[in-house]
Amino acid sequence: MTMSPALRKLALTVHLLSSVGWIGAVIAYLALGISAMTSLEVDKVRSAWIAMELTGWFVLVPLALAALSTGLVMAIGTSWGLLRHYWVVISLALTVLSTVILLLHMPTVSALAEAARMADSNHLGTLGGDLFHAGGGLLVLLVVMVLNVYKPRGLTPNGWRKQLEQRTPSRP
Amino acid sequence: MSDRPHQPDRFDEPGAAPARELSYSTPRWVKAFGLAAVVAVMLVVVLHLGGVGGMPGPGLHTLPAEHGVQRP
Repeated sequence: MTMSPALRKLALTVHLLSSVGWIGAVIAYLALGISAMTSLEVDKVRSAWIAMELTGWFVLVPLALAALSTGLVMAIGTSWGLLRHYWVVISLALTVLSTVILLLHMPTVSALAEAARMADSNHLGTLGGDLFHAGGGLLVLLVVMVLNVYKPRGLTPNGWRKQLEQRTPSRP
Repeated sequence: MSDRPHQPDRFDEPGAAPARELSYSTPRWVKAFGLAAVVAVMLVVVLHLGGVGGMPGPGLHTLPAEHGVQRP
């Protein structure tokens, strides 16, 4: 099920846009989190948390789902395959993990943003800046990016079996 | 065993290469990556239990009661 070159280029374009966009959005989210955590102005902290919630639901989540789905399309639609090369398998696992954690974490972000809207200045400081998840997520995405650029060699047992099958001539 | 495509910069089909060996072994970088992943997971678990990166203590993913906000 190999895609045509034109379709592959389109899928690659969308995949790159969503993947790199996801990394950029996480960096922006991190900046907002740092602002929420370090700012002494009440309005700034509230605004940062509201912006973090909006960024999370309307930018991070769609980009994560797009990156994951287009990555699957790129793997299945080319001869790289989904389970033949370790760099693909590890990238897939890390992307799935990041997406799941993001989806599970966003309700907490919404709750914290709501708390920021309603809390008084004395309690705003207890909300933190969600740096742990954002920082960890950014690190994981950077690892995925490096794997996708360098594509280090290494066949999985499945990939090795398939390559042996392709090289073994069929008997008459 | 080579599995690198002819044009490694492209997300393209891996090119066929002559088989140099018939035995399979997990690449060293994969083993190192796996070890690093295990260490990272243990670190995350320890940090999470310690309340780092959010509100301290068991209320890491809950809100202080005085805010009066229900978790979704």
